[in-house]
Amino acid sequence: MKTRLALLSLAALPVIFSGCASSGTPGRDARYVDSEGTQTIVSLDKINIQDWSNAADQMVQSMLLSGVLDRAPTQPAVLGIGRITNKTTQQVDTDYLTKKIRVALNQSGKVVTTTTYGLGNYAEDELARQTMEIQKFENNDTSTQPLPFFTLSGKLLEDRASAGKTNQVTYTFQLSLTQTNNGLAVWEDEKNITKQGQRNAVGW
Amino acid sequence: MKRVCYSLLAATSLAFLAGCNSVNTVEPASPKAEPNLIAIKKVDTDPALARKVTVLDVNEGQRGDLMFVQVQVENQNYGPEDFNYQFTWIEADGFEVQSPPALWKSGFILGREKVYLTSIAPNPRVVDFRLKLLARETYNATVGQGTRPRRGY
Repeated sequence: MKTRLALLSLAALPVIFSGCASSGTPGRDARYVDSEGTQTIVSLDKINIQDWSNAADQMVQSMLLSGVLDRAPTQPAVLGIGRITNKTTQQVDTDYLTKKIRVALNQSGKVVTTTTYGLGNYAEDELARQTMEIQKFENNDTSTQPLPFFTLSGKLLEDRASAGKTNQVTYTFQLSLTQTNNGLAVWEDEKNITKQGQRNAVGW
Repeated sequence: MKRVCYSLLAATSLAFLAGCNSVNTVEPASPKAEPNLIAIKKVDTDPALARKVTVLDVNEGQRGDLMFVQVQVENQNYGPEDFNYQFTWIEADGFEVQSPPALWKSGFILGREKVYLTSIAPNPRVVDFRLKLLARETYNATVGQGTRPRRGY
């Protein structure tokens, strides 16, 4: 009886432990994975979705910890998005970085981003800008629109190295927050994301 | 015979330990910092991970009107460990903050090393936090490419 129980317990073990495994086999059947989770693909030749999220999160954490956003005379402070220069070998849309930062700062209640005033007089939301101008004209309002108190600018860099069959890529995210009334960078940070391996992988 | 066995065991242990990457540290005997350590509740469902990444204490503070948390973890093994972690934030009414979404991050800790996992609350309404820790092998060994745990990426 005891032997049978022991055998039964042994047989049950794999069943119990297989319950710990996630379902599905990567690469065969398509399935949804959490974009912010640990099951996303890690590539050695591109900035992955988790890299953007991670870089943006680290930048936001750094910015909030620095306390510079609390120093703006009016709260929430108005933020303008400046130029983010892409010096990597990839063609990327830097909104992957800046939008995440904007969302997080907006949710913190410390910053609002202007969408009617941008680099080279380019309005991100042209309809909003035109509507604002019409409203001002109709109301005989001569005040100027709120100008950014802070601007965000930066650069994306890439560094590659290899040793034998192992490849390494480092993506560097550099950002500066400039106070527009004096032109001084009141916050700056740089974050590196380094990936190393011989081939791309599912999960990390 | 016994002596030979013990000598062999000692030599093997030394060779094993020499191959490990444990960290030597130096710090002030009387630290000047006065952390605000809070009482914590731990739920360990992975005992192996709890030993590799042991939560020692949690320091909670404020940065402006935002809650700031610093969790000190220690690797009680002698080899380096990869792990993942995620901070989630809870507002006064008990709801978890949904935006920006909570991210899983990768962590790395050397043998016998103590590191801090830090995070700042996403908004001033946050009053509580939860830290989740996950062994990196858990996913890779069961679903990821290959059948054995991998080091690093």
